[in-house]
Amino acid sequence: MTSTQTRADPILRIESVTKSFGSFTAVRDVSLEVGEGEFVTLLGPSGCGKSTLLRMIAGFEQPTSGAIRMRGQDISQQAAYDREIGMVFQNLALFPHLNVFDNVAFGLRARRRTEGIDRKVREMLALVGLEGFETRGTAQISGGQRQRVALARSLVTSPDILLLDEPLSALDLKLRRQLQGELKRIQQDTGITFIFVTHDQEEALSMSDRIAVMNAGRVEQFGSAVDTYHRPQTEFVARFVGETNLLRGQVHAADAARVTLRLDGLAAPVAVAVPLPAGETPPGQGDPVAISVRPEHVELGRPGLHTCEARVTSHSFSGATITYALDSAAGPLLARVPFQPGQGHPLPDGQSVSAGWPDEAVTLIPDQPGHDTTDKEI
Amino acid sequence: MTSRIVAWAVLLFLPLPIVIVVLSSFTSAGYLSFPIEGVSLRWYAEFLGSADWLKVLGTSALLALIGALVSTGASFAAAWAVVRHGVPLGGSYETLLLTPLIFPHAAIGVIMIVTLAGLGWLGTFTGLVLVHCILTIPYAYRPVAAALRKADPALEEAAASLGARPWRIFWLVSLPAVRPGLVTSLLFSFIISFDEVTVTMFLVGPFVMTLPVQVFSEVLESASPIIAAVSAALVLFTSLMVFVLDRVIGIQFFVERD
Ligand SMILES: Nc1ncnc2c1ncn2[C@@H]1O[C@H](COP(=O)(O)OP(=O)(O)OP(=O)(O)O)[C@@H](O)[C@H]1O
Ligand SMILES: [Mg+2]
Repeated sequence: MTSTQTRADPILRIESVTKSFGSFTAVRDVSLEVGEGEFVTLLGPSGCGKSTLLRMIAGFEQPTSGAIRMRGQDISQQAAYDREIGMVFQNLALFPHLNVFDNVAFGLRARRRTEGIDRKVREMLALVGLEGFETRGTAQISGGQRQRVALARSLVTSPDILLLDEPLSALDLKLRRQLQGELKRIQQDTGITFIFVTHDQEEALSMSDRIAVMNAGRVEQFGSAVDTYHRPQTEFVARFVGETNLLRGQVHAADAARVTLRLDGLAAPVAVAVPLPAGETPPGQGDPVAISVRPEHVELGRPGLHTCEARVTSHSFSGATITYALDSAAGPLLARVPFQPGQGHPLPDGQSVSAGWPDEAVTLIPDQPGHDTTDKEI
Repeated sequence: MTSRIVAWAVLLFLPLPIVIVVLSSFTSAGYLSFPIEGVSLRWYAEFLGSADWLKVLGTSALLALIGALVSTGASFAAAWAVVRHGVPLGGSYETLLLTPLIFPHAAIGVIMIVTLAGLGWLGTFTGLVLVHCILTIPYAYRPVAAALRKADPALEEAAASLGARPWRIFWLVSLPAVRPGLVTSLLFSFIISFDEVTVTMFLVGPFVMTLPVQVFSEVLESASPIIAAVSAALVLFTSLMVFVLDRVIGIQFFVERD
């Protein structure tokens, strides 16, 4: 299902959309294309503008500038009720005076599609696993069940796009995992385009076809889940999505296929094979850069890798893996290594080891002067 | 311990006058007295058999009904503007709406005589409706405003995203969400208007008279037990109304939890 290639006809195209509230800019020059049937996630810390962007797509807010096109037609000035776009709200917004059946039936009645309403509502309730709950009030069901009612209510009119604003954030972890799976299944069964908002990077990685990582009103990176994790393009993305080691240095040499750099604190240059996209000019010699190496790619005591001398400062054991915090010439490092029972004891604190990583595990992040590299906050 | 005794005392003494009035309405004597001298329903028969009393009852009921509808409607519109859109004076606007509670009723009565005389409405039903609306708006405003504040604006957005147009959203979502508040407003303004004596006294005339003012002037002239019968009937009527509405729709009292 992962699909990074650009699609022939996007169902939704957001073109340089900016939204300001007074002098405060909540969404800044955002452009995105969403393909038919895609599961796209907006991921970012609290206050980065996810809900504001979603509300503009839904029609509850008008962009200050820019355009939103659905199947080519500009809808930015169209009223919310004229758009075939459904929404699941963060607080669900179930109608308190209506029972489960009438909540789900609301969209059909509002659009005066009352033919076969009984059958359609029951089908929807079956899809979300709520048969038999028709006459319950919204206060007489559990949080997870309310969640399902909200989903059924927004799906019954078969919208072209469904927007979901952190729909699972109020649930406990176990229920959350279960509903993530169900959401994904329903999205695949119905083929409806989902635009999902979350600030939980694991949720984003496990559910999405593509992820737009947002920070301070901007989209920092838009790509597949795998690329978002393994090929972060900015420091913010590298830090926000998963744990990482960020090391700084300068370009030592570069050609079209390969960059060699000198890391701060290390004497020997480190070669990095970076597949530069066609047409992109390689960085010049001496340019400041940063690299990102995921902790699980750092190996200890293996010869033949680019290595630096390090010392164990602490470790934490988590079953299958053990994570060491290291002090190295290039700065602090995290190394997550598999742990086998036969292996004896973890390395003691203070132990000297050589830490290294294979070339392909390195992601080069161009240094962006003046760029906001806010640390991640969840 | 002392506070519990006080609480019980309040609970017992508050309805005591009502109990005495109701009991004394069953007297067979020709004058008001307590304890009563013999039991009979003759004063109820007299009340229900008197065209004069029934006429003022009708006037009061109609006045209270129209007044309640108008002031609840106006309060709803005002609260909608304040809560949803904000008004120029903000908080002071809401305080301003409550001023009829602060002004002495005698002052309001005098001002209203002048005002209604100017409008040519003195001693007319229309004049009474106007004055009763002014007097009941403070009571009608608070429950609707509280209900509107409690209602989640996302409900209306949800309805819009489901394809409902503004008027349908209003009827199907906004109004039901504040229904208990509206009923409370209607009920309170009805009861306030139905019971109003002090200001109304200034404004009645040969062509229009309300029930409580009639009771008051009757007390001044004679001490006929028919007054007790009328009062007892009013108590019964009001309690029934509160009970039924609470059962059917649910009343949201002034207690604001936010
Ligand atoms: N109506 C508004 N008026 C003024 N500022 C607003 C308004 N709506 C949102 N903002 C501001 O815009 C910024 C982005 O808000 P938004 O709700 O889009 O964040 P978010 O990414 O959804 O955050 P969260 O994860 O906490 O929901 C915030 O700083 C917020 O205070
Ligand atoms: Mg939000």
